[in-house]
Formats: sequence, C-alpha cells, structure tokens
Amino acid sequence: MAKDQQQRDFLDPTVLAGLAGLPLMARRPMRGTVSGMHISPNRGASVEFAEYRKYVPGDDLRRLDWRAHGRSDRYYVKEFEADTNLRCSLVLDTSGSMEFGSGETTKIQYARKIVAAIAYLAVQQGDAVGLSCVADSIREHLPTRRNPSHLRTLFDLLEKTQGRGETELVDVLHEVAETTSQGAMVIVISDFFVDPDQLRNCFEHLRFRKHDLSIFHLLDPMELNFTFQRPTRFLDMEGGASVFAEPSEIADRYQSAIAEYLDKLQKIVVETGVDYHRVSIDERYQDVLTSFLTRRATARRVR
Amino acid sequence: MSFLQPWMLFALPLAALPVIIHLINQRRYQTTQWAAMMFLLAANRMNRGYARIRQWTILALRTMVIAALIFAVGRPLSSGLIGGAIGGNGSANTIVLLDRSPSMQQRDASGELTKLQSGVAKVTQTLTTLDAQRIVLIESNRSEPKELSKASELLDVPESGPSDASADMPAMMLAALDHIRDGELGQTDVWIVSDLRESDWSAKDGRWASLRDAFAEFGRRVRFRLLAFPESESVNRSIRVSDVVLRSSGDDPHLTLSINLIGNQDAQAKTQTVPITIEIEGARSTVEVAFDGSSAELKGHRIAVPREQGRGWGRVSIPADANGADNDFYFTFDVAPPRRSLIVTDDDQVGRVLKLAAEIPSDVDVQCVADVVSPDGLAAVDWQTIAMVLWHGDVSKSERATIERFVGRGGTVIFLPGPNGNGTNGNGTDGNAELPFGVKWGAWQAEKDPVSIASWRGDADLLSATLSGTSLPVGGIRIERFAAIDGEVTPLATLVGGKPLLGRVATPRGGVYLLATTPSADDSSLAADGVVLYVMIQRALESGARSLRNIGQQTSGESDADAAANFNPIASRDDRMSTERAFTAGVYVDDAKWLAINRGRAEDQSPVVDDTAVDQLFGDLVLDRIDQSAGNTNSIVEEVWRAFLVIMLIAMIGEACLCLPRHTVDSRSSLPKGVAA
Repeated sequence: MAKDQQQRDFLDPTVLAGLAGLPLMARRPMRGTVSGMHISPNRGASVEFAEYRKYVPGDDLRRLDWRAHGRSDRYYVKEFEADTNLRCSLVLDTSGSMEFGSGETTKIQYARKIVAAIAYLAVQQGDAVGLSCVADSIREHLPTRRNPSHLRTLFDLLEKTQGRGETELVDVLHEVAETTSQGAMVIVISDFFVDPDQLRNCFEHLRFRKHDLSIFHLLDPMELNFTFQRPTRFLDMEGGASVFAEPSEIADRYQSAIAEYLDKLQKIVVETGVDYHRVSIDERYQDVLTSFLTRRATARRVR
Repeated sequence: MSFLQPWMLFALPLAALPVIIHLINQRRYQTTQWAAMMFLLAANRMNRGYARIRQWTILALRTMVIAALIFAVGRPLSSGLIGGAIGGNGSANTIVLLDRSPSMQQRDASGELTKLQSGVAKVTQTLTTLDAQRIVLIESNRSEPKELSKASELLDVPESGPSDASADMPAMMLAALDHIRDGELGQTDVWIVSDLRESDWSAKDGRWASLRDAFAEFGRRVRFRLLAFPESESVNRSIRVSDVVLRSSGDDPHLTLSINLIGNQDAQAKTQTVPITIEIEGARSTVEVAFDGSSAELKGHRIAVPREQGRGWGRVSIPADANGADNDFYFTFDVAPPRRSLIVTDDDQVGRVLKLAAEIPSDVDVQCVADVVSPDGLAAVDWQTIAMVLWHGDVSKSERATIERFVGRGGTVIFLPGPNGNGTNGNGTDGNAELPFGVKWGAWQAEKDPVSIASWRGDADLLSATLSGTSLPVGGIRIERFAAIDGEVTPLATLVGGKPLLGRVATPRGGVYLLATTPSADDSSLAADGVVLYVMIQRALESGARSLRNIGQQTSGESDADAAANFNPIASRDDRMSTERAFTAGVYVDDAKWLAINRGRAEDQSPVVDDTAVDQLFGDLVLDRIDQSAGNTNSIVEEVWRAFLVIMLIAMIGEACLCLPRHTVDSRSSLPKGVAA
C-alpha cells in the first residue's frame, strides 16, 4: 500500500483531472480487442447502421431484415458499425540527448510527464496502453494492456528510465512498426536528432502498417535559439566528438542548420500524415496535451 | 594630419582593446554538455567565409570606434597645405610679420576682401584655432614688435590696417630676429603675410644672407609660415604725378601737371579711355586719357589757376579698380622761392666762375642769386635763405657746425679744396684740411699731363644723363691737378688712375659733395668746358632749394612716425589714426610746410618674387608656404574632431548592425504548434 501512495514527480493529479474531460481519440479505425469508443474497421453491433448485405448461408437468421425482404423479395442482412478500443503504443526516446535541459527540466523529464498523462487518460477510457523505451534499440518494452494495474507497471518503468547512449531511432521505429499489431495508435516522444530523410521512411512504414502515428518533438529553448555568449566546448551527450565553437561566429550558421532541419521535418510530417507537435520544453506540458487532445477530438475521422 | 593635443595619441594602443578582449575571451571558454550536436557539426561544415569576414569586420569597427574617439579627443586639424607641418599644439611663441604695403590692398574679382584683410583674417583664425598664446605683431610700417594679448586682437589693432608705405621685409625679419634673441624665445612660429612684391622683399638685398645665417643658428626652433598672395591677375591701374609746376606770373597763370598712368597688363591693340579726375583744392575737373593697358602719360597738362594763387594742393584720381590704394596721388605746388647760393672763397677767379654758374637760372620762372664772400664775411650771411653753399678752402671748427646745421636743414654743400689748406701750400705738401662729416682734404696732386675722368655715375645724382638720355660731356674735362679725398665718400666721378674727383658724403638730409679740384684754369678745364660745371651746380642748387620751399613731396614712411602724428591733415583718409599719418597718403601741414605724402614709386608696378627666389631667400630654414588669394575665406587649419565623432558613430552603428542576431528559430511563433494530415 505504501507504494500506491508514492508520489511520482511526473504525475500531477491536478493536471490529470483537468485533462480527464478530454477524450483520446484516434484519427483512423483502430483494431481493438473489446468494445470501445473508437471506430473499428469491422462490422459490429452498435446502433449505427452501416449497410445492407445479401444473405449467405450461415448468417444468423436473426439479423435478416424482413422489411427489406417484403419490399424486394430478397434476403438481406442489416450490418452495423463496430466500436472498439484502441491500443496505444507509447515510444519514449531514452537516448543521452534527452537528458539535456537548459532550464529547470530536461527533455526526458518533460517526456515522462507526457507519457504518463497519455497513458493515464487511455486507461481511464478503457484503451490499452503500452510503452517502449528506446535508444540504440528497444531497451524496455511493456505490451499494451488496458487494466489499471498495468498503469502502475508503466509508471514504475517510466520512473527508472534514464537518458543514455546513442540514438538509433530510425531502426527502432521500423522495429516498432513491425512488432506492433496493425491499427494501433503510436505516439513517439523524442528530440528526433536524426536525418529527416531517414525519418520519412519510418513514418511511411508506420503508416503502411495502419498505425495512427503522433510525435512529440521535444526541443530545448537553448537548442532553438543558441544564445551562448562565451566560446564554448560542446561535449556530445551521446558520446560523440566534442566541438569547440565561438558562438558569435557560429550562431548564424547553427540557426541556418536548425531552420533547414525543421523545415525539412515539417515538410515530411505533412507528406506522411503524421500528427506532429513541436514542443519547446519551457512550455507547460498540460497546454501541449490539451492542444493535442482537442485537435484529435475535433478532427474528422476517417474510416 | 596634426593634433592640438597630440599626447592623446599615446592612448592609441587602446584601440587594440577589442582584439585583446577577443583573444582573452577565446581563452576563457566554457564546457557544456550538448544534445543538438548534429546542427553544430552542420554549422561547422558550412562556408565560414562570411562569418569570418563579419567577425573581423566587427573587430575592425570596434577598433575604429576607439581610435576615432582618441583622435577626436586629440583635436585633429585638417591637413590643408601645412596641416602636417603645424605640429602638435603649435609653438609657444608666434611672431606675425604683416606686409601692409599698398599692393596688399588688391581685391579679388568679387571685390569682397583685400589681400591684407584675407591674410589678417586667416592668420587670426589659424592662431585662434591653434590657441597661440604669446603673439607678437611686426608690421611693415614700423618694424617694431608689438605684443598682442590674443589672436583676435589682430583684427582690431590699427597696425593691421592698410598703409601707403612700402614694406621692408628684411627689416621686419631683422626685427623678428632681434625679438627672438632679446627674448631668448624657444619654439617660435613666424607667420609672414605678404604678396611677395619685389619692392617689399628686396630679394637681392645683402641683409638676407646674414638673416638666413642668423636664423639658421636657431635650427628648427624657428619655423616660418609664409602666407603668400602672389597672384595679380586682376586688372589694376595706378596713377602718379611726375611733375607739378606753378606759373602764376604773366597773363596766363596756370598749373602744369605731368601725370603717368601705369597698368599691369600688356599693351593691348585696343586702347581704352581712362577718365582722370584732377582736384585742385576741392575744384574738380576730368580729363580722359587713352590707355593701352600698360602705360600712358599726360604731359604738360595745363590747369588755369587764379592769378593770386600761391601755395596749394591737389589730387589726381582714377576710377576704382582691383587695388584702391594706387588710384589717388596727392601733390602740392607753390611759387618757387629764389635760389640763393653762397660762394665762400678767397680766390676771385674761382669765385667768379662759380658765381656765373650759380646765377644763370635753368628756368625762366626761377630766380637765381649768388653771393661771393670770403670766410671772414660769413657772419653777415642769412643762412635761412641759402639753398646751396660752394665752399672753396678750409673750414674752421665753428664753421663746421654752421654747415652741419645747414645740411641738416636740407641744404646742399659742395666743397672744393683750397690752394692753401691746413698745412698745404699747393705744391704737393701733405696737408690735413678737416671738413665736416668726417672727411678731409688730402694733398694736392699734380700730373705732368692733364688727367681725364675715367668713369662717372650717369644714372643718378649730379652727373646723371639728361632727361633725353644724353650723357653729360664729363669725359672731355681735363684735370691738371687735384686734391686727395680722405674719408668715406661715394665716388660720383673717378679719374684715370682710380682717384675720386667728385664724391658724395652720405647724410640723412641735404647733400654734401666734394669736388677734388677747382674751376681755376690752372687746375682743370671745368670753367672752359662749362656745361658740366653748370649742370652740376644747378642740380645741386635745385636740390638745396627744395629745402627752402614751403611745400614738400614725400614717400609714405619717410617721415618720423612720432613727428608725423602732429601733422595737420588737409586732405587725407579720415579712417586712419594720427599715429599712422606718416604712412598714409594725403596732404599735411608740418609747421608751415605743406607736405604731400604718397606711396612709393615701386608700388605702382612691382614684380613678384618667384618661388625659386623665395626658396633661396630662406635656404635651409623651415618654411611652409601657403599660397592664397584675396577674398579666399577658407580657413588654413580647421579642427575636424566632429568628423571623427561621425566616423565613430558610423562605426558603432555598423558594429551594432553586424552584431544583431541574423535570425532565430522561435518554437512558439515562427512555426506551427503541430501538423496533422
């Protein structure tokens, strides 16, 4: 019981309460295991009429539409939409670069809050949620479960994650795309410090597997603005070579490089249909999540 | 480029501060963990050329800001022609040599300022800019140092105004030299403001060599700044009265004037008419003269005067031109008094010959009277009426004083050796006959054959050629015997063998001549060939008679300035002070005498000393020359610290622009929050 009452620094009950009213909706049909609030690609027994289909032997006679038979003298079976739950697969980048933070919080701390909030919301509405902590490979993996006790396991895993090692996000995302059953919601939280062209393939792979892909692109304000004043030796947090630079000399080229990268990424996410959220980690994460959830709730769904 | 506070330039190394700070900053690097290495590496791979140029430009601009600030505080002066030479804070002492001669009153085409005004204004402005402290003015009239408390005083003192007297540049330089020596001055700047007229500079004067040597002793302690106004392209004419004769007797009393008009242009094919205004005691008349741009003469112009007209004055003037100082000429006229000669001799023959030569008037209007007295009869002589004395024989001590007074008044004396001088007997015995003025007769010398005159001064004085240019027949005179002249005389005629026959003693006024023989037939053929003797005596008489006239003609600057202050002006400029009367053209009353003062003849048309000659005059002395023109109001030196402040400002703005962040990627505003397909 003592562990139940343990305070987790990435969980804020007030924020979770505030977000509770917002549903986590999928943008495309999900292949769930039980009935839920999400559109399924299959026919089911909901109240929403889908279509008439010709009767074939073996169909349940109770589903024959006798009125249609009276009008046309043919046998039709009436079909209805199926509602299902979703499987939310959260992918958290735990490479060394995620430990960077110029302010009070680091990117991985910020990511934990987002992951925890989404997981909580998904379980609350009956959806299954799983977590993959990735760096150069999938280091930790929790399969998707929808029971509330699974949430604790997920939080425990979150709590012990640390950013270290290099990023091999491209390979990892391909692996996630393959290993996750089709029609899942995949949410990736990372700083995406990889070549955008390589990411394009990953995104297309996930899309091909009929996953609803959302990404949270976490960036530190210092990484965006590069407001260093003094000459600095930059040590790579993922173990690469260090770089000595005069900020006033290199700043403009750094700005050019990051602007080019962001532009390219922007173009790719538009082309690959990714729900993309660029987040500066000095923003309030509840605002980011509110924006994320609201947009999904109001978006036109596609079957 | 020079500076009023050059010691500020010692702070120039501070301009390297930005570079030093940059280098220190490079060493004070920090180490930080960094995630977005891919962008740093990408930035390193990009072309660094522009960034490097920008970096160096920023450093250069920062350096420029500090340097410009230091330069501005150092109070830089504009270069100009002598900017580089006006070093640092200037010299501790400044002497201004100001040429006030009439030629300095030439104006430029616009007619705004004269050369003198421009020069004074420029020197004042320059000295004020340089903050010169001990300023001494030596102007051309008096050539005496006058201390000025500040530079702007130059504009106010009467000694910097126009004058009608010529300048004597060597004398001014000498005064400057004496002032430097007397005051044991240190670093001294000598500013010379002049139009380089030959008449003022006397480039061939022997004083220049000694001045050059004297100034050379100071080395670089004394520096000369020549503010020259050499140009004379403006059209200028000057007028001068060469002769005035009053004929009040007879039925037709009139004044005869000879007027010369001189121009500074070459003779032109097309002549023009110049109106000459003649004013006789207020009554004006105009006569037009054809003028070819070079010269014209109005000779024997008659102007009727009242029968009772005695002494009077007049003025001739021409219309205004480039130089207003030579457009007027004053003159006085009077009825000529009798020319009275005194012949002191015991020798009747000599007395008769001399009397004859002195009594025959050279002009019908002139009355010539000659009295022959022996030395014993001198007590009864009225010296105030005597124009010339012909003294044959020795002079006693008391008589010497009388003669000296007579010469001091302006009279002329011609001494002839007596047959029995002091200890002489006419037979070649040595004698020692003392004369006034430091000369004495030596022994008589007799030759076997008559001696002729080898050379004589035909250009001036008693034996000069006639107005028509014909020489006097001096060479035809034969000298049987002559007395030696002991003492310092200027020979006017020299015998074969080199002995002087006629000499002149230098005196401030009057004329003192020594004729080494007598007109006696035993001594010379002067009486037989009487022309030379007659002309000689008449010229001496005319010269002496001038002192008897109650009118006079002077060149400006001849009179003593203090005495001239008491002159009463009859016609003169009203704007000049009384102390300047000796140097101001006009007609004045000096006691009972009317005096017409005019500019010197050399002022009418004097060439400019060329650049080579000026360089030679100063030799190795430190000379910076600035050629100016009248009316040029551009300052010689000017403080230009404002320009450096502007440069500093521009550099600061440039640096600020280059330091501005080129563009930043704002995650909140520049890019959308999220994208969903």
